[in-house]
Amino acid sequence: MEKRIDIQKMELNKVVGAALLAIAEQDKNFMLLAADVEKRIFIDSLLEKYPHQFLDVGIAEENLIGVASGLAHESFNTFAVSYAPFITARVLDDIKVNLSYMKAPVKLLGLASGLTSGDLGATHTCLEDIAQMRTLPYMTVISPSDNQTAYKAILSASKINTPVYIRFIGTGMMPEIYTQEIDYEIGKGICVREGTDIGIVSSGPVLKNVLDAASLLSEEKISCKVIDMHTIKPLDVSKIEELKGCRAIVSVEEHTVFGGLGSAIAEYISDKKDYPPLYRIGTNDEYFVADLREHNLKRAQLDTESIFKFIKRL
Amino acid sequence: MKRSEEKYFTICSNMKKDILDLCHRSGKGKAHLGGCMSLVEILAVLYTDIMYLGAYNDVDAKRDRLILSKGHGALALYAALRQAGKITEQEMQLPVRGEKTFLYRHPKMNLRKGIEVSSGSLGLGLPYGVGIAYALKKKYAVATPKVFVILGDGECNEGAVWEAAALAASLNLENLTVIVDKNNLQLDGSTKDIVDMRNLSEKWQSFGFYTLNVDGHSCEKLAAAFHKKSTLPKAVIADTVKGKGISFAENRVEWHDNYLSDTLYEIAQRDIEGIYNGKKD
Repeated sequence: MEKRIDIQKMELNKVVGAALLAIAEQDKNFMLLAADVEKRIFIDSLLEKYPHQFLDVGIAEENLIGVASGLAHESFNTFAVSYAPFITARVLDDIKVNLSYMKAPVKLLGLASGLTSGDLGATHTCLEDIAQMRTLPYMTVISPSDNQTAYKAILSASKINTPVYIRFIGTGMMPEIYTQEIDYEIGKGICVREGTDIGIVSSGPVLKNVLDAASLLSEEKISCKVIDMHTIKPLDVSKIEELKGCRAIVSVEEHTVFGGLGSAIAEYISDKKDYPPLYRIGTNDEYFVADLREHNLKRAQLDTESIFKFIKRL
Repeated sequence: MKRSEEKYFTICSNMKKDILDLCHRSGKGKAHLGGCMSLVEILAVLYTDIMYLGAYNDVDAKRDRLILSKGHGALALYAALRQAGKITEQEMQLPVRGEKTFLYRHPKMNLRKGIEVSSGSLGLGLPYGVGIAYALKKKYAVATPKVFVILGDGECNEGAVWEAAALAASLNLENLTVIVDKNNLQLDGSTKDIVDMRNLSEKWQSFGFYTLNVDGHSCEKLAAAFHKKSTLPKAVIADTVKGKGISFAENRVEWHDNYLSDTLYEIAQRDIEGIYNGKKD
């Protein structure tokens, strides 16, 4: 991927725009729909070169889902983008009927998920989208941790014929997780750090805090194996099975502890022997005061220091 | 294609018999008799006069599509598909529930049978229909296949309907026709009493639709309305009667869905016979 250096140096929202342009260049059946948010993903080039492959439906998210589904069933490779809460919770029945029950292979992109835009208040945070999307049959749910995986997740999604939801956290410059080119595959978790004592499973950019905490823990002679579980549905259970020998498994997500990645792991191991206890770190059934993401991550105990302290005490 | 009164008579008569049979076989699971009877003529005209459907069991990419957004009219839809040759006589005898059938009380998408959407969650059919109409315009600039979306008037309470209506006009989807089965009732009572939508026709007009008001039980008038050319998306507001032709169900709220017992089935069968003979019981 000759664009890799560029992707790494871009703001996340520009990465999304670049990935969508890349699809448009190769696929004349690609269609992008937005609910009045296209300015946020920097698709000027796409709009200029392929204006007929874009449609703004206005601030009408139910219509966004329905229209996208009609296009998808007429063989258009259809992506729909809005802010995460408005393309999930707000339109859950529309997604259930169109994408899940009728199997319309629409790719939903949820921007500014997690605590990204918490500075604007709780209506602009999204801490429940993984849980909601996970309950829908045939839905794939992805939470990429950095620019490279975000870019590749979008491209990979465009190649499968089933509905997908991708949540993006952060809009500006996000930390780099993968400094080398990696093989990305939907549904295949990635071991980003080998270790033996504690198995940590995470997704999204909070993975950076996890890796930093793992470094600190290694100084305390606690060896952590860290998995980037970018695809929460379908869960890569082979990676969970690799953690049987640890004395604890810890899940870390920028999402409520009810129903997200941690819950998916809990569901998997609950009827099986030979697994250590699972500790789920996430937001605790709460909303946060309007504040910058870094401050709310601290309130949610998802910052490096809190993760380090939590695991050290295990 | 102009059809004679007698031809339509036979088509509608057959449809009513099939609807009653399916309702009866639904048993205590209840069936949406009221809302199916108000749709008979609308579906008869569309499926036997207006729409190109392709051959039996075939999914023709250039077919016209009908989206029954008012999903509880499913039994009427199957009756019309039978008249159009997309469902066979044998298939009409399939059960109304379970694995060995597709004749459910809310349609499950089945393109080979001409069932375009899995409807039942009101308000979702028009957004989907707008997507289909828009896609078809992109694919076929000439002889663009048509999309017909049937809504209930109660269904017009749903916001998603108006989101889609606004976009349809904004996109100039002249291959889209909305039909409102305006039978003036919904689940809890008359539409006027639940939410008074005032002049529904004016609302569609103001949203940018070429709007026509039509007697929803006159096949001739419906056909004329559907044949009218328009450069705008079209809205056909069909004045109908919920439970039309059934003595105990006409304009009765409780027949939104109810149990068609053996006794009531017999009465209903005589009701529809009665009208055909030109006399009323």
